[in-house]
This record gives sequence, structure tokens and C-alpha cells, in this order.
Amino acid sequence: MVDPIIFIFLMILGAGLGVKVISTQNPVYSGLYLVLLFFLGSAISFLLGVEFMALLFLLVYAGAIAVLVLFVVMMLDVKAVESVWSSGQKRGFYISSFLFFLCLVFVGSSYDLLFLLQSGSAWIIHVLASFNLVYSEDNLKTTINVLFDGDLADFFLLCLYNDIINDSFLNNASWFVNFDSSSALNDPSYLLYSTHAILLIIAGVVLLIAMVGAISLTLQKNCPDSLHKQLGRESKNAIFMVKNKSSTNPLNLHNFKATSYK
Amino acid sequence: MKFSLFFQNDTIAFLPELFLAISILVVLMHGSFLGLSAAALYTYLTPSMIRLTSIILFISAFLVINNPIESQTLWNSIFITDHLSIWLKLFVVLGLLACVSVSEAYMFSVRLRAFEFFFFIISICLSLCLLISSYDLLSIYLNMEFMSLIFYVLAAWKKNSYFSAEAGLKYFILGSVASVFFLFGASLIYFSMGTTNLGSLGLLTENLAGCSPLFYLGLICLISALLFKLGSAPYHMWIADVYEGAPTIVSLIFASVPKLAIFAVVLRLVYTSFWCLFPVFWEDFFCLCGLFSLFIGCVCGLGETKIKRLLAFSSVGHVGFLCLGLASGSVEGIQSVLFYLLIYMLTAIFLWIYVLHLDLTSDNSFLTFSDVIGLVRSNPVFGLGIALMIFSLAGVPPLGGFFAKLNIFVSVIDSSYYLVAIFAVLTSVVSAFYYIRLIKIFYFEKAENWFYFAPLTKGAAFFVVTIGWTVIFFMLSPNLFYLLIYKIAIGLMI
Repeated sequence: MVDPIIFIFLMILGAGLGVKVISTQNPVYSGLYLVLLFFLGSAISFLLGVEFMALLFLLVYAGAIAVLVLFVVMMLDVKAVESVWSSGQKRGFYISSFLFFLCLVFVGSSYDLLFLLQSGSAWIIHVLASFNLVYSEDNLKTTINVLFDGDLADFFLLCLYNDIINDSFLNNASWFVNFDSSSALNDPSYLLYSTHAILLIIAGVVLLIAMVGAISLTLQKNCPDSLHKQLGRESKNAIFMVKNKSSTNPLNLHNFKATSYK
Repeated sequence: MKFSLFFQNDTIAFLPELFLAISILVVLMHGSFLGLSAAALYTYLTPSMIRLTSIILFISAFLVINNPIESQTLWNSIFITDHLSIWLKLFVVLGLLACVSVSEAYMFSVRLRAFEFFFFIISICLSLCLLISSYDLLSIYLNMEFMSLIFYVLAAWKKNSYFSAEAGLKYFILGSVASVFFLFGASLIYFSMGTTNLGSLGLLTENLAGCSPLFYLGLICLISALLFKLGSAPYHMWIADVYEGAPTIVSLIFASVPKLAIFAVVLRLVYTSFWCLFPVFWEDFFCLCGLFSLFIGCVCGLGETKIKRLLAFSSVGHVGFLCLGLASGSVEGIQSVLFYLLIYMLTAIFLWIYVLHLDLTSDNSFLTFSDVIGLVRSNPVFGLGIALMIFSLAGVPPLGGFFAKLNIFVSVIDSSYYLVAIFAVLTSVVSAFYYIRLIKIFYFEKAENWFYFAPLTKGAAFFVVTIGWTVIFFMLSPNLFYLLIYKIAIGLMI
């Protein structure tokens, strides 16, 4: 399962993002920080090994609920009070971002620096996970296997280690065991399309009526009253009685008149 | 060349639902493309839509009756077809046919122009048919949400009325919370049992020594959500406002058909899957809910002066009677519940057609007792019919409602709930007051102005007469209903 140190680190990041959501003055910024928070929740679900839930987080939260937040921000007229940066701060920001991108390009184009970056990041994770400054091969493998779940651990090992290739599909006789196993991602889809296929179809019909309902409630088609009465006139409702409301005598039989619509 | 598909039997058994699903697409296309050209931008589609919808519902009634598949589970045990599902689907389709046929004059006078209304009526039929055949907690939730979404949209249909917006918003928020509780309860039951299929749950809970408290919590959440949708106390708060605020044709649909489907679900849950819990849990729960609903129905209805709210509270009382019938736990209990549902649906359609008829010529946005005066002078036969229907609702012999209540009382006393029966009789007497007050206002109130009532339209007159003959002259030939109900109830118990 997930090591407590990693979890604490992610929680601190999440708390920071959450504070940023409510402390920023601009409502659009706070919506964007909320989306980042959803990404964090999705990452935690990945770490827990429930990849389907993680992707659902992205689909439902970042896709639907963040859009809902966007619509609310559009409807309500919230004034964004922004603090403008001074020119010194702007200069510092531009120079530091330029240097950062220069470093990225420099490191990314040189193999030695990439290797250094990889081993450095592996060492940091190893230190955080095992409280052990000594860096040995199977120590790192066991810590990664402890940190992450089955498939995800293999993914990380594949990123960090080239000698995992020895266990690859060309050399390994039982590659189909690794190839054909079901994971948290394709298990729900197997069930959804075979056993519960009818529920998927009904869910599609529910989506259709939700769309038609939203459109029919909100789309304004202004038809004037006279046009409506003209279009709906048939022989049986062409002549009708009209109640006269401005009468004062108790027996106002003669106030009723038969009219045909002009 | 002979071949068979994977889900061949299932598709044949689901032919009515398949037909309804294709017809909602057809209706949507028909309405959208008919008003497309600039000259036809304000096409008045309602009469053609009413006839199309009536034909679709009529054909699906025939499809429902001529189901060639024996009683079995369908679609990997997610749905089921048996006698309960076939006959309740038929009642739902006929009830919706009645609602559609009476709607033309109301929709013309209230200027409800959108053709999507009929799209939603056929979708209601589809969702209720699917809900009646549901045999899995997942499919119950999906179809219940399907039905509720349509009702949320329909309750808020009148765009320029605050009442309608209030009704839609209240129903949406409260109904969504209830669905959330259903899902929570279903997840707890899955957690403790490992399956969501109602048949498997029945087999698993057969000889239960002790259940985890989470299982009981899940069951309480589940059944509370279903009772919320029915409008039984203590979940009755939304009914009065929603029936009052929604357009009257929508209240007609609310009051008549969903109760059949949700009671089918409750019957399946109580008598098929969690039957072993009956002496432990179900009988106390339904007795309490039934007594509370009867109490609320009779007390809150006494102070009401608006007609629609009065009918809403009376429906709370009737759901109380139905809960008592469920609590009795015998086959006679199921039979009495189904029979009461049928009679209640007929009476509700009749009375709401009357309210619809009043709403055509009313001045205010809500109907009070002052709108009721004078009907007897302008249409005495209709007034007599309404008076007899209200007597049936109050439980006066020899009308249909009396036999319904009689069956419920017989099954309750058969299970030795004597105090419950006495309380039910007392609340029945008290609630008879506000029914008979209506009849007094019809016949004996005098007002300064003459009132005008429009004549009944042809569709409304047909259904009013049919339902009137069925309920008022019920005692002349009760065997048709009784035999049908016995067949359905025994089909459920097996």
C-alpha cells in the first residue's frame, strides 16, 4: 500500500491547493485550483490501485462538476480583485522561468544529465520511502513494490530500470500471463458490456431525456397569445364564452356574450 | 435459415419496452423536424402529438398483454417477467392513455405548447414498465432515477409560474436526496450480502441467524427512499407543494401511475428478497409508516382549502392504508394492496380529470373551494358522478373504494393487528369529513355570481364515464378484478 510519507506529502499538497481555492480573490482562479485538487484526488486513486475510479474522478469531477462551477461563475457577477505585480516582481518571474526552461532543454538533450536526473529522483524516493541513505538495487525494487500496487510498480520499475527488459516479452516464455491479466481498468468494462449491457443502454436513454429536458425547460420560443389561439382554432373551439369580470349586479346573466375570435 | 440471438427471449419479452424506446425517438424526430421550416416555426403540434402518443400507448398495451414468454428472469437476472409485471404494466399504460386523452383542452388553454411533453409521457411509460420488471438493485435504482428525472422536468414545465418552479426545484432536490439514500442502502446491502440480485438476496437471507447492523441500516435507507417516492409519512413533505405547483395535467400523471410501479418494487423487495426479515423488521416498519401516514393524511387534510393540496394529503392517507396492507404479511395482504392500488388509480384519474376541468375556467393560479361551487347546476350528472367518487374515496359502501378498504381491514385483522385496525377506522372517519365537506359545497353552497363551466371534452368524457361505471357499479361484477388480483398475487409469491 501507500507509504505514509508519500501520503503525508500529497496531503500537504492537497491542503495547500484547498487553501488556495478559497483564499484567492478571483473566482475563475479558484475554479482552476479546484480542478488541480481533483487531479490530486485522481492521483491518490491511482496510487491506491483503483485506476477506474481515478479516471472516473477526472471524467466526473473535472469534466462535469468543474463545468458546473464554471456555469455558476458565469451566472453570478463576482468582481475579481486582483493584486497587480510590480515591475521588479515581473522581471524576476520572467528571468526565473527562462532559466528553468533553459535547464529543462539542457538536461533533456543530454543523456548523462538525464541519467543523473533519473538516479537522483530514484534516490530521493528511496530515501523518503525507506529512511535509508544507502542506495542498492533490490532495496529500491522492494521499496517501489511496497509503495505502489502491482501494475503501477511494474510501470515505475520499467521507467527507472533498463535491466527489467531482461524480463521482457521477447525473452520471457510466459509473456501471455503478463499480457492477458485483467486489471481494475478493464474489469468493469467487461462486465458493463456483457452482463449489464441492458443497463448501459438504459443509461443512454436517461442521458437522452436529461438533454431533452434541459433544452425544453430553458429554450425560449416566444409565441404571442393571439397566434397561439389562431393556430389552435378548430371547429369545436371557434365559438366560446367569455367571462365578463367588470359586472356589479348579482344576476349578471346578460353580461355573458358569445364571441367568435376575431 | 434459422438462427437465434444471445438475448432472443429477453428481447421478445421486452418488446413493449423496445417499441416504446424506438417510439420516443420517432416522436422526438417528428416534433423537431415538423417545426423546422421558417413558415412552420410556430406549428401547433399538440393535437397531432396527442393522437400519435395515444396510438403508441394503445399498441404497447397490446404488446404487453400478448407476451409469449413464461415467467422467468431476463437479461442476466436484471429484469423479470411474471404476472405481476405484465398486469401492472397494462394498468400503467392504460392510466397514461387516460392522461394523454384528457390533456388537449388543458394544454390549449394553459399554452403549454412544447411537443416534448408527449416525448416525456412516453418516456414515463418506458421507465415505469422497466421499473415494474426490475429484479436487481442496480436496475431499480437506474429506472427509478429515469422516472424521477422525467418528473422533475415535468413539475417545472410552466415557465412563467413561480409555483411551478418551486414545485420542480423542491421535488428535484428532495427526490435526488432520496435516490442518494437508495444508492447508499443498496451499497450497504451489497457490502453485507455480496450480490444485488433480488432472487439471490432472497436465497441468501433465507435462514438468517443474525445480520450485521449495516445490513439493517442499508435496508432502512432503501425502503425509506422508496417510501419517499410514494409520499408516505414521514417523507410526505414534498407532496403538497409539488402537486399544488405543477401544472394540473402533470399532477394527474403524478397521482395516478407512479405508485403502481414503486409499489411493485416494494412488493418484490419485501416478499421476494427480504421475506425472512418480515417478523423482525418489516411488519413494525410498515405499521409505523402506515399509521403515521393515516394520521398525517387525516389531520393535514382537515385544514386545507385548496383542492389540489387536499387531494395530495388524501393520497398520503391512502398510501398509509397500502402500507398497512403490506404490513399484514399474508397473501390476502398482497391481494388487498394490489386491489386498493387499482381502485385508487381509477378514482385518482377521475378526480384529477375533474380538477383539470375546473382549472380550465378558473381565474386564480390555484383552485380553492370557491371554484368548486355550482358544478351541479351546470352539469348535474357529472356532479353526481363526482359525489359518488368522493364517497368511494371515503370508503362508503357499495362503491369500489369500500371494498378496497374492506380487504385491507380483513387482512390486517387476520394478522391480529387489532389496535392498528381501530386506529385506521378512526382516522378514516375523521378524513371522511373533508371528503363530505366537498360534497356539501357542491350541492348546498350558494354564491352571488353564476359560474361557468366548460363542457367536458370527448376524451375526458370517455374516461370519466368508463371509470365511473367501473367504480360505482363495482359490486355488480367484482369477480373480474378479484380473480385478476388473485392471479397476480400468487404469481408474486411463487
